[in-house]
Amino acid sequence: MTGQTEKNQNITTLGADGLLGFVQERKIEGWRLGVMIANLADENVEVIYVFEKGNNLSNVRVVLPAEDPGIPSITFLYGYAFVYENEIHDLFGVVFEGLQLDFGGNYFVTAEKTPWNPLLARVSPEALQSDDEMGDETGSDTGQVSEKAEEGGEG
Amino acid sequence: MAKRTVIPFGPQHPVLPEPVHLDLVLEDETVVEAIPSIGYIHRGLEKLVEKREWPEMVSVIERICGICSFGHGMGYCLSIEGNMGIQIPERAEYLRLIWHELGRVHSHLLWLGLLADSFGFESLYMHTWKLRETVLDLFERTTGGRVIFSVCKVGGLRRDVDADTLALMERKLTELVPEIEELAKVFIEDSSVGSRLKGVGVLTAEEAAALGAVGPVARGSGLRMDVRLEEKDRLYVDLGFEPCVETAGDSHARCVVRIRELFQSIELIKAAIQRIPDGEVSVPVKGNPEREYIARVEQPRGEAYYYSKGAGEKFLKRIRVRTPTNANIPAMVKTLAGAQLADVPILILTIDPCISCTER
Repeated sequence: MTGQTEKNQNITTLGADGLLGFVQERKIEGWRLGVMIANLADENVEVIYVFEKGNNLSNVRVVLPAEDPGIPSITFLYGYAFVYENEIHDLFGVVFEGLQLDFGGNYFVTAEKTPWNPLLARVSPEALQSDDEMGDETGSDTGQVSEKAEEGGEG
Repeated sequence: MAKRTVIPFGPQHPVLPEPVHLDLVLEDETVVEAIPSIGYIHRGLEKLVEKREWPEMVSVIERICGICSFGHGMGYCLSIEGNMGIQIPERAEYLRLIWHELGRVHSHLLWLGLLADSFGFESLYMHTWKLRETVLDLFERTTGGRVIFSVCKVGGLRRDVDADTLALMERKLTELVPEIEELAKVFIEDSSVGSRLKGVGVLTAEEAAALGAVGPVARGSGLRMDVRLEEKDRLYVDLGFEPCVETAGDSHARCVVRIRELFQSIELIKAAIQRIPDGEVSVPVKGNPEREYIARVEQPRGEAYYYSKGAGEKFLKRIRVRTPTNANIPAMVKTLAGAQLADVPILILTIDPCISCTER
């Protein structure tokens, strides 16, 4: 089981404002999104994007303040990123702006909110509260479907 | 427009061995939209890095799944070995390949049985699982376990397999081939099976690529992608590995890919047994992981990622596992849209979902 290549281990660090340009380039060049990884590092949350093309990986890291982590969603470029973005939102509290198919904090059922980002829970309980409310309004997948079904029924 | 109805599917359903929920929006019998919900059994295994030292974590990561447990343990070890610059002995590499491919045979036979069960072919289901017992017996004989094997460790393996046992494994697998051929004939040629699988849940190559599908789901849609090929693994290259690809993109194609992989994995194991060198199966490991490392493994269900981050301490900072089912959920949702309600169980099964893997 050899072949895990060293060249694939480089992770470039970018600011949140440079992310979409980087991802757009990867999309145009035909890279697949392999995985998104979140880490809690000191007072920050890191989000790592891994793109793959055959034997090559292209990795980028975006560092966000743990107390208020927000970043643009890449689901308009890679629709299937919703599985990673919802997971990272639920576990680390990262808010993905423009997330398509937002489960509103209900993707994973966890006993406590953002269990992997205690800084967010400690510093900003109000933000979590408002997040809950948003989930009640739009995030409940059952609610979303019922709404759509009713629209269809009326039509 | 027909009146729309929402049918909740799961989390408990006869076809689902694990809990996943779908809201199926129907117009008459046709699924218009399917919205998945998971998270019923999220275990937070990755967070145990805070409480388990990195050599112990292999036992935790193995327990992510009871089917591809060897692959998970191996993927974790590959990540840590890459992190620490460890080269394991060649004999250990061969034995890892043998067990990993045996795990693929186990997984695909299990899946074929579940598929037969999903369309009501009970005798086919039981016959398939009977053959799977032979594979489990081989695991038990060589590792001591039937579900969790605990043979992989950072730096190699915990135990060796003697030549007589390897010869027995080769003989048993050779005997298994004609029995699998008999089964394969039913799955591939039987008209009643074909009527449930052919043309059902078609996923084109473009759609599979756009949705990030991996493993047999991607290969069933004509995508020639497989980590064993992409990582240019020396052992697989030497053994002449070439991914099994089908182009129809329907449920039948995904089934055929897995059946072809059964034979391929057996051939790989037999070739590896012929070539395995003598020698040690592990090397001493000193120090602690100090950096980040990303490893990939082709699990039976598709590509899996293993990311590790160390800081020179006995506890890792992070371990992240991305399993193939996680990547195949968008493809599953796509195949459900436009399907008939009666085909939903089959379509869910054709991605071979593992919720334990997904929720870790």
